[in-house]
Amino acid sequence: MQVYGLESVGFAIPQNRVALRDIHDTWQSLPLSAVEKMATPYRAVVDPDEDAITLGVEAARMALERSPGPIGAVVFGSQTPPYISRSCAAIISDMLGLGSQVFATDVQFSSKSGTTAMIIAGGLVGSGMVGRALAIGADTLGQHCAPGDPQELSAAAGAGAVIVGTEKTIGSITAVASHSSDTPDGFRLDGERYLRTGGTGMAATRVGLIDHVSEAWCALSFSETAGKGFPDEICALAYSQTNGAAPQIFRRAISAPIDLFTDGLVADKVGDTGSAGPILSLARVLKNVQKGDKVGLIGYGVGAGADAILIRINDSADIEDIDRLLLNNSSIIDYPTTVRYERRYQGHEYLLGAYE
Amino acid sequence: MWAKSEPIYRQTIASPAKAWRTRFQRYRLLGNASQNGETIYFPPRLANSLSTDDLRPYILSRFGKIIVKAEDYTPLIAQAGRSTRLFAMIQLEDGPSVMAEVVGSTYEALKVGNEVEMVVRKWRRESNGLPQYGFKFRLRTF
Repeated sequence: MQVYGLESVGFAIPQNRVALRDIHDTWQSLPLSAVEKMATPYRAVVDPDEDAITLGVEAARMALERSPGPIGAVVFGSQTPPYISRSCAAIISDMLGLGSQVFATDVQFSSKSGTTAMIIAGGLVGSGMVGRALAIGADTLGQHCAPGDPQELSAAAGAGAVIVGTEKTIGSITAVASHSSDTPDGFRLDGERYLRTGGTGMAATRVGLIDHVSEAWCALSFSETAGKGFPDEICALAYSQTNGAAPQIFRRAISAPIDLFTDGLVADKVGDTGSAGPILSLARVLKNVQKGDKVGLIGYGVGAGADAILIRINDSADIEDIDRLLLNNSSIIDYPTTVRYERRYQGHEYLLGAYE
Repeated sequence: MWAKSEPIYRQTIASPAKAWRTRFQRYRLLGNASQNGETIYFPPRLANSLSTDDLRPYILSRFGKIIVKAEDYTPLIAQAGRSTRLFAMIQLEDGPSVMAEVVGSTYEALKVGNEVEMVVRKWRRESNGLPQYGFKFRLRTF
């Protein structure tokens, strides 16, 4: 197995934002106090011509511009791909001009699809099958949540991409672990229009997240600090996040100091970006790390499973400043516009316009 | 007038075969150029007055500047749910100009001279229902 790691990171976040208070005023599906506990004033809303492919290609292009060169594999992770049969990775590969010899495939495991894509890309590179691989996590959750469903409050969209390779890596992947089981804390059946939670017993108790994240994290096997609580060697954490309260939930799972979650928090600014969340979080963490630091990357997906990845920083990361998209460059839109942009209601299949 | 997604057209449609053949033009601004690079064609020209041998593939720059802007109020269906759409002539960094939709801005905010970058977005759906992707532009972010 070759030593492999991250050569670059890219990201894309839609420009529009809607206030959670605006959604709450419309549906009142949760008490206002519960909405405020989400600590997420606004969430991102896709443009009407955006989807997981367009966001994914944007993030991938940013990563490729930072680390140009041939790509042997594209792994696209999403739970909201525009296609459920053909490969979005192949489309993205064509859009990027990577050549038709590339190995392209999609993976799907709810919100951990992005970290799962990274692990697969790492396996392909580490085994020597390809020299460099592109892993993408992209989701447009807002388009796929039912109007009035409490999930809709923070369901946003975004994409993250990493190039996994063996040369000039900003961080080496030194350990990978996963934990999966049949835990239906969220799902979407074939043919159903919207994502669903598994109900109060599964989703609201967070049993899936806490159990799986805890087990995956422990399976990383920190030899130096085994059995001594949270390992001191970890300098920061990047993680899946549904809203701004995510650090408190993850803290329950892995007993980490709360300040390790600070740099990686993005959902308080854009909401739940699904599969992109851990990679966006990583992009923010990488701005503040130094050579020799160790970063934990955790992906959690309902259904349920968790990935844990340990990254040792080799070099300061030359990546774009994600805060420019998180904090600036956004347009506030109202809830009716959000519903229209996300195409939440079923309309006519065939229409005639004014000139047709 | 808006539908859950872009409706399928009964007329004025892009043929799937033609859309497939021309996808690199929409995805990556693939044109062609004369061998000395003095003349660039976009969309690519199949033959010029000399010979097809004189042309080579050429990918245009993703970056450029607004030189003319316009706003379209025509309520064509399925143009992505926007009530109006912003268009511009964009002079690309390597010389040629293209006309394209500009997203993420308003007519008032967009200024002649603004730097823009190409992004891939959904266009209309093809006659078989397939979403068609292609270039649009937005203000340069990074």
